[in-house]
Amino acid sequence: MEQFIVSGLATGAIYALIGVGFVVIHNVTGIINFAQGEFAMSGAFAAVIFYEHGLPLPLACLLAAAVAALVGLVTWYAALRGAARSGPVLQIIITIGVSIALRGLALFALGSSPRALPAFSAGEVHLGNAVVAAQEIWILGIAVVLMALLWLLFEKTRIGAALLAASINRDAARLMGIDPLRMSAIAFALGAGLAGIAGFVIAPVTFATYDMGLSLGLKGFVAAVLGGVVSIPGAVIGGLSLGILESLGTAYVPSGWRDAIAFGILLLVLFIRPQGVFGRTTVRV
Amino acid sequence: MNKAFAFAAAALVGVAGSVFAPLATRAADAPIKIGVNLELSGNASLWGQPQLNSIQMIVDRINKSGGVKGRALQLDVLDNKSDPSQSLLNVKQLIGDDVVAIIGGGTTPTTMPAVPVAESGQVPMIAVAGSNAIIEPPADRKWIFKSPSNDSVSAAVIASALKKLGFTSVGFLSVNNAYGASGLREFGAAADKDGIKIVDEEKYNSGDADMSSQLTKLKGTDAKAIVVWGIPPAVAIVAKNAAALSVPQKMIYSPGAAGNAFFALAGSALGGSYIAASKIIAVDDLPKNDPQRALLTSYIQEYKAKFHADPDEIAAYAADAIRLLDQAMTLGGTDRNSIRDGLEKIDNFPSFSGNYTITSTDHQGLSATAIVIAMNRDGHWSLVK
Amino acid sequence: MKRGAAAALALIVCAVPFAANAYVVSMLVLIALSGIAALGLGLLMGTVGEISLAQAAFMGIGAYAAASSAHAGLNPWLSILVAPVVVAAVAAFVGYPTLRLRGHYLTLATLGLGVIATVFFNEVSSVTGGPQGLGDFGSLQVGSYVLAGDKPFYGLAWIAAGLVALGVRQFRASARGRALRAIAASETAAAAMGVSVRVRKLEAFVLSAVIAGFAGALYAFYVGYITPVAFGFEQSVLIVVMVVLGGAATTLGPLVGAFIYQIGSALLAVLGAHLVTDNAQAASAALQVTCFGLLLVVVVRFLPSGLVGTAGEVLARRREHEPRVRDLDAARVRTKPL
Repeated sequence: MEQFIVSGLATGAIYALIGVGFVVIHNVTGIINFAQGEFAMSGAFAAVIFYEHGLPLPLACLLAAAVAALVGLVTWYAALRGAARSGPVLQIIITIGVSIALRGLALFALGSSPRALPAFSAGEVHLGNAVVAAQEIWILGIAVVLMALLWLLFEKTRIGAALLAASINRDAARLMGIDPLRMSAIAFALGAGLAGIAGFVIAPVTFATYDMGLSLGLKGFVAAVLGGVVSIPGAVIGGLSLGILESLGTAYVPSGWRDAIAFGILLLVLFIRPQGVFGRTTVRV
Repeated sequence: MNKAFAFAAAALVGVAGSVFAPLATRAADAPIKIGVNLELSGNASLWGQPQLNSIQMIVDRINKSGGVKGRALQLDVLDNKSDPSQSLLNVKQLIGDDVVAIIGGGTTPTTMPAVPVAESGQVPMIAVAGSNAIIEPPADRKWIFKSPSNDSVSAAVIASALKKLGFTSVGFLSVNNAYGASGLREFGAAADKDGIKIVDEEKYNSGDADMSSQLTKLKGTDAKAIVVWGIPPAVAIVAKNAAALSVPQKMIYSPGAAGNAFFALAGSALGGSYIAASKIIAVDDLPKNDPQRALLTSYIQEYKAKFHADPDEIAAYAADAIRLLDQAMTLGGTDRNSIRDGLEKIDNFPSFSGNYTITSTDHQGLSATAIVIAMNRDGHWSLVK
Repeated sequence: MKRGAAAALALIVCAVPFAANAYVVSMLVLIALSGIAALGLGLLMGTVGEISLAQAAFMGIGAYAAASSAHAGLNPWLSILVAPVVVAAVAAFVGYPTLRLRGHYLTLATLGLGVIATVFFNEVSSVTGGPQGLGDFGSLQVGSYVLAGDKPFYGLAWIAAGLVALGVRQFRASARGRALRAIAASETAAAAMGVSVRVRKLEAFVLSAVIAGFAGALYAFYVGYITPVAFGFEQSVLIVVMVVLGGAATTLGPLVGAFIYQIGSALLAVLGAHLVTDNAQAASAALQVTCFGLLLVVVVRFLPSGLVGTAGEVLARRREHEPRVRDLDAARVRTKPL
């Protein structure tokens, strides 16, 4: 039993990181970012490339996070900024186009074979009856640290406050001297950076492939929706819960139906409580 | 102004497209045109790209030594994007382009829609996919061949190996797609025949990050071994999860796992595991007089030099396909009908994955001896006799 | 679209199969079939205004309904009728709760529907054949004439597309269609004017799904072998792309969009094959994917109303600037800006 929960927490942490990035972008810009999974893939591949070129792993990962954030920025400036007033349908199509282009680029530059990234530390850890790969502990740890940093960002810094303001009410924020377009750029960089970190943190476990973003992105959405699409803690809890539910689901349901579980939960939440299981109806964090 | 320009450009694209497409047909001249319909993008491109590399390498080899009957081979390559509808269009385009034969598709879903087209178009087609359904029933598959061993054969080899090793109750873990489904069906039948009991069946999706839950369930059964039917990179995750969980059952992998990605990614987690694969997996262990040994050694060397990676079983099957065509053209003629007849004349022809004997009722051509069982010890696969 | 242009188009459509090779005809069949699904989606998007990512899933449900009933022995023509019924039932069932959602939530819900449908196709293998797919379900026959192959299907598919286009146009012009546009503009205002918003939206959703299911059934008989891979999330995205490329505001926009998409990717492939040496085909395939993504972004940015929509706007603006010849007040004509 613990085995299921612990494995579930680890995959859940990944979904949570991607979901949080998705929520940050959506809150500030209002855009549903279908390229979120590909931002994660960019982080994973950047880390692989830096590492394969001889950089020590920590440096490779740091740079990879920066690369992912850069990809997010470029996406905003090149593709979305000019479409800021085009309406959600066109914005979604644009992010879909970006995700296809990023996949194609990865396929072109790196081919279709999976690439490995070494685990941050090797071996396993025994927690009672459960066995957890050391990398999974790293995943959980990094996720916790990132969430703490995000909290600090939003609660204690001016940029964070500005981001929050822009996400709650763009016009009011503009009146206060906050440039919503600049906030959107920052949101994209931040959301992409978070996804990129998720990418290279999971790569030692799942290996980096050019299409890893497809399923990562989808699961990240589910995590975000469980949190009501607007709440960061909601996305975290949503992601973790999704991971655990999937894991437990395998124990009791024929494993082919697992995706149906995840998305069935998505539908249930949307139908019954669109503000999310863990979201609140009024205040956004 | 901008919008009008953009509109005009887009309209031009549309018109140009409908003019261009037929112009893509090149006039038939001296080179022998062979069509290739593979998954170069999309979710099966993991296989498609090395397969194309392999085919190109063998074609270059053939052309350098004078071609076929003095004529060079020329490849007409189309990407089916891992999409069945695109595969259908590709085969029609290739037939219209006057190719004498087609190699492809690389997966069952992309191959099956093309089968009736090749049959009615009377163009020999060699698929590089695993399912038996591609070449059965023989009466409706006069023009369809395949180079990879049938899943039924791989399953039978695994079942008899399990029986020999005394693992009479097993668990089965497969990927939830056409390949895994084929394995499930074929292994079910083979296990029945050899008295092996499948105590639990689990599945995973190809994009999954963690198979610990499925393995934990299988670990808790009284199975003595776990048969894994999937492809990299997911099978590498399975291997690593199994090692981390200290799964006591012996792991035995299907041929689909025998890609380089598997070994590179799973690393030491593979120690003690078995795999059923074609002989490329343990070339150095093959007896000196094994018909595949010399062929594989030179193939691996050349592929490595050209593409900076080890070729795997999947790539080798594609190389077999083009060699089968070459042999058929040498035995017969270079038009579609003669190639079809020539393929059926192939008898005990040594190629990378085994000796092919193709008959009118067996359009695959490999026997059970083409699949071997190997065990992993110290990062190295050695044949299990 | 103007009557003259429509007639010209119809003439071209009829002439093609006699002139072109199997590849081109086949591509046009697939354009017609995906175009039908796109027409259905266009109906939904053009009136309710939201993206549905489940259109390919509904195609799949129709395809499997038709194929499995034909496989079980039902007359193929009847199984094509079974398909829309099954799809309508499923769509009504899932549409009812789904349509209470707005905007992104609705889109995400359709995403979930699509994924669950794919799981069904893969898992309920006794009906669908599982991941390996379903084949061997017979062909459409008229008397002793077997309706299989490119040219016969070309006729069938384009007649079907024409009928669906006409039907969609009628629907949009009807009172119900107008009610839907009112809902798209403002649900509250529409409700205040006595429009039963929920019922109308559900109708549009079910109609759109049924059209997709019909396309799916035809597709099944055309290709002869269906697998879950053909009806997944990526295909749903492509159908949305077709609608956006052509424009959701007009009836024919999505059909034109299907045409643009298919011809565009074929053109891209031809360019890719010719510009690249033989040994770089794999790289070329990857670049084509990249180009397609980039083109998508560019086209949507510069042609937000889609091709047909933009063409309509351009023509409308041109008409506005034409001097009115019959205007007796010459002064008024002169002061009108040109």
